[in-house]
Amino acid sequence: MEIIRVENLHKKFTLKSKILEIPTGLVHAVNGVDFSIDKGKTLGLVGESGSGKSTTGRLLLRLLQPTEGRVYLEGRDISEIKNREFRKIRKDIQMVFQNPYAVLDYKMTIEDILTQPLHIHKIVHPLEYSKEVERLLRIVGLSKKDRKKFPHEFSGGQRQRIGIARALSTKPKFVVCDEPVSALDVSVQSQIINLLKELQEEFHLSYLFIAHGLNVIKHVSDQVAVMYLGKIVEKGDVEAIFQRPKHPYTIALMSASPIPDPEAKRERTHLKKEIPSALEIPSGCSFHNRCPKKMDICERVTPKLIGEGDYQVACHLVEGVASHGSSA
Amino acid sequence: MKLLEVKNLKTYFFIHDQEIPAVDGVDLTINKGEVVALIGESGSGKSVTSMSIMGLIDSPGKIMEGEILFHRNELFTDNLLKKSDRELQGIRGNEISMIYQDPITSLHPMLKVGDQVAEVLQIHKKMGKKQAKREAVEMLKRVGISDAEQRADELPEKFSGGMRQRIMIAMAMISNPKLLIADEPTTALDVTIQAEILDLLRKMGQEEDAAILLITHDLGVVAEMADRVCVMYCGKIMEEADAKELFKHPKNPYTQGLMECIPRIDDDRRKTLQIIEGYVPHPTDFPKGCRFSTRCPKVMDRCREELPELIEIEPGHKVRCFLY
Repeated sequence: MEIIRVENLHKKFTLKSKILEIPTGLVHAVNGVDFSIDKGKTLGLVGESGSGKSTTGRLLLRLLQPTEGRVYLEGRDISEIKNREFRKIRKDIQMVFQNPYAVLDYKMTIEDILTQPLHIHKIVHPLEYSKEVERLLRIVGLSKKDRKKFPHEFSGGQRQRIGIARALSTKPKFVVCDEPVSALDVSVQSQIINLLKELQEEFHLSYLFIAHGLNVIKHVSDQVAVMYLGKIVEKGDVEAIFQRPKHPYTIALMSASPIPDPEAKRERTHLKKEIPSALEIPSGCSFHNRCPKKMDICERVTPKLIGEGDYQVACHLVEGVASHGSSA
Repeated sequence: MKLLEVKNLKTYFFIHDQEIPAVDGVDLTINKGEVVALIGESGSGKSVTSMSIMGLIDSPGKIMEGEILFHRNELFTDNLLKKSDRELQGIRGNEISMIYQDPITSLHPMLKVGDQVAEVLQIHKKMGKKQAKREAVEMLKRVGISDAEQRADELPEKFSGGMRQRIMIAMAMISNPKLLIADEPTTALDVTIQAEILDLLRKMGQEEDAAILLITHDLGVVAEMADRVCVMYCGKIMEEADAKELFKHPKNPYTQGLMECIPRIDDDRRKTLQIIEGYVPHPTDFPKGCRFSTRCPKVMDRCREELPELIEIEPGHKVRCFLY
C-alpha cells in the first residue's frame, strides 16, 4: 500500500539583493521530482550537496512551501491544504534531523520535550503522559531514569535517540530521516541505523532516508533515488541500482565511495569539474559538463526519466531514451 | 629513515579546574615519504596530536611531557618542543605544513589566492614578489586549477570547496615540505570531490617525496591512502600496524568493532550491523583502566583496573590490550 506519493514537485528560491531586495537570481532547487513510498518501506535519497535532497524532505513536511507539484498521503492530496489545517496532518509525517544538538530545546527536560507533542496532538489522555514517555524512552533504548535530565547531559548518539523518540511520539505513518547519522561518531552510527530499522519493522513505518553516504543508503533502503541538481537521474530497487547502475553519475558516485579495504579493486570514474551552482544549471542534461560519456545530444535535449516497472533512468545513453527526449 | 618521532606526548587542557587528558602518552613515528593515518572518533585526541606537532597548542592547553623529534637530515635533529616561537615559525609552513578540514577559514578572504600561495615563498624562501607569483601560478596549475594565470588574481570566495582545498594543497606543497599534516582534508567535501582530492594528495606527496600524516575518522579514506595506521581512542594509541595488516587482522577489540560496525557498499544489506555498545566517554571521565573497557565486548576484570601497555606482538604490529 502506498503511503506517500509525490508528483512533479518543484521548489524555486528567488535570490534578492541585500538592500533593495531586487530579485537577482532564481535557484531551482527541486526540479520536477516524482516518487512514491509503500507502507513499511524505505526510499533512500542520495546525492551530493546542492542536489536538492534535503529541500525535498522539507517540502514533504511543509517546512517549505512547494512552488508546484502534488503530495498525496495515503491517496489524499495534501498539497492544497492550508498551513493551519496542515498541523493536523503533521502528526502523521515526522522528521528526524541531522543535528540532534540543534533540535532539542536545551532548557527543557527530556520528559517535557516528549510530552509536548503528546499534548499538542492529543495522542494520549493527560493521565497517561508519564507512562507514554516511559514507553517512548524504552523503545529507543534509553532508561526511564533519563526523563528528568536535560539534553546537554547526553552524548550525540543518545540525543539522536531522543530525537527519534520525539518523532515517534505522534505515532507517525511516515518519517523523513535527513542525514540522521552523519553527525554521529563512527562507532555510534550503526546503533542508530539498527534502531531505525527495528522501529520500522515494529511500527510498519515508511521512511524517506536522505543521506550522502552510499554505504548507509544501501543498508537501509528498499528503493533508491539518485538526485543531481534538483532532479532524480536514476531510481529503482536497491539491488538494481547498486548491482547494475546505468546513469554515468550513479556510476561515478559509486566508484568514488571509499571502500574500507586497502586491497579492494578500484576502478575510478573521473568526473570533470565540480557540481555547478544551482544558479547556472547547464542546458540539456544537467550532468553533461561533467559526464565522461557526453554526446552532442546531451547539451541540447533534457533526457526524460523512463524505464520499466520500478526502474527508471534519465540518460540518452540508455537505448531508446533519445527518441523520447524533449527539447529543452 | 625516520622523519618525525613523537615520544610520550601528553597534551592536557585545563578547563573549569578540570584536567582533560586530550593526548595522554602518544608515541608516533613517521618515516620519510610515508603516509601515516591517525584514525579516531571525536575526542580521541587525533587533532590535538597534530596541533602539538605544529606547536599550535595555546592556553588552556598545555604540553605536559614528551618529545617531538624532527630529523631534518642524517645529522640534525630538532626537538620541536624546545624551539622558540620564532624558530618554530621558520619550520611551520616550510618544512612541516598543514591543511585543514575547512579551507575557507584557512584562506584570507580579502587576498588574491595567487598572492596567498606566493607569500609562502616570499617568507620562507626569501623570494622576490614577481618570481614567487610566477611559481605560485605554476603550483596552482599542478594542483588542477584551470586558467591558473587568471584565476590566481581572484578571491577565495570565487572558488568552490574542492577548489579551495586544492589551493590549500598548493600553499602547503609550494615550500617543498618534508611532512604534510592533513587534518580531515576531505570531510567537508562531496564524495566525488573527495576522491579527486585524495588522488591529488597522494600524487603531490609522491612527486615531492613528502611524508603525510593523515588525520581522519573515515576508514574508507584510510584504506585508500595509508601505508601505516595508528588507531586512537580517548587520548591513547590503541593499535598500530601496516594498513593491509590492520584491515586484515585487527587485534584490538576497538579496531575490530570499528571495522565491523561500518556499513559497507559491498556487503549484504539484510544483515544487522554489528555495533559497539555505549558511547565515547567524555574526556573529563575517562575510565580508570583501559580506556575502552566500558564498551569492550571482551572486557576482563583486569581491564577496569589497569591500563595495558602498547606492545609489539608481531614485527610492526603494536596493540594495547591485555588479550595479547
